[in-house]
Amino acid sequence: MRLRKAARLAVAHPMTTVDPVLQSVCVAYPADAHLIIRAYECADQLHQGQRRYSGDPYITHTVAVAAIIAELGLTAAVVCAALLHDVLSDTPYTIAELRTQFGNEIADLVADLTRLEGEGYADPAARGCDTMTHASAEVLALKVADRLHNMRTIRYLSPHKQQTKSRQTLRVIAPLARSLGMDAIGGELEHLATAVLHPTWDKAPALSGRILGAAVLVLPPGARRRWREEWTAELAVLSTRRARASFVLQLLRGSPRLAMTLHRPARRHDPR
Amino acid sequence: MTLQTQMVLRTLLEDPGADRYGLELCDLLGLPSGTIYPILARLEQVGWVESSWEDPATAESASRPRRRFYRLRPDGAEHARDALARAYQPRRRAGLAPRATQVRPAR
Repeated sequence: MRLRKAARLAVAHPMTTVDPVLQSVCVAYPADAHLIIRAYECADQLHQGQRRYSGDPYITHTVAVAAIIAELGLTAAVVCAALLHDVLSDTPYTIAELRTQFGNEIADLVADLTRLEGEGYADPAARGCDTMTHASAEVLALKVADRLHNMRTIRYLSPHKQQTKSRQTLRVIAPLARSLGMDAIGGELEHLATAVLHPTWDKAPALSGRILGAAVLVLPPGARRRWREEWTAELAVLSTRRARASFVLQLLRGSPRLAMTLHRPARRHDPR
Repeated sequence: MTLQTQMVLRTLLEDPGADRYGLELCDLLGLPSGTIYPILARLEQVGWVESSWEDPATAESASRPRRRFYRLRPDGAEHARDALARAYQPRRRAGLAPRATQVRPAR
């Protein structure tokens, strides 16, 4: 019945890319799908006519944030708060209306997040950090998810804004994600922010890069990203072409052994 | 344990709490990158060494990408000392010392 509702919603909004994402979220929360759809409909109506810098309807952002929250396995209330997270700051909707329609838990999450954003946290030493230490883990997770989607779509912002947001992400939001145990998201935020601030860092010089790519290719797929980043960082500080060539050629020679090590189950305390 | 692994362990034991990165060990030991990283991966896999990314803000202030740091775990340092001590014990060579009588369990 609830899934049928989600399907009806998809038919009602055929032009947006929102619905498949929302449906996936609803499938993950079968008991609360009706509440999530109600939050979506409310946010969709309130953000009507608003657009992202990319030109996409604004609602695509709040749904993407809700999907990140759903992937983290947080409660349906936090998913609803994600869908409604910008209604107090960007629409005429009031906290009283939010409380009446969605209850205190969701309203408090949205209000706390809005307050957190309003008070600012550009400098970790400034009051923002105090604010963040007093915010609940759910509110902080909302903040991280919001920033993650904004960083994923940062290319649509002006270069100046990209730099500012990326610096703040690196100094405040990525460490915050890691402190919440969201290591994968912390890593992605760091990667996205570094790519903006230092676009050449994750690109090894052409020939060295190709050899490094070959060395990485023999490793197990799950390990490639880590080793590529580690080796690219080492390569970046080698000043001569000769030193870089020597480093990557030796890596290429040693990578089958590394691959065997990574594939082979370790016997505890036996490093042979 | 290979000689290269012993060299890596000895270097890490010089300051067990210190963060070391792969290229640093290559330079310190004069070993190629293709040798150092498999050793570090193996030591990490068996739990003697742990690794983590450098704080991005530190790397940022040094104007370079963040490094992967390696350090000995407390129990890893103990295991490393024991393993190095064992590696130094003289090996018996055939013909130089009498073989110990092997007692086979009765079937």
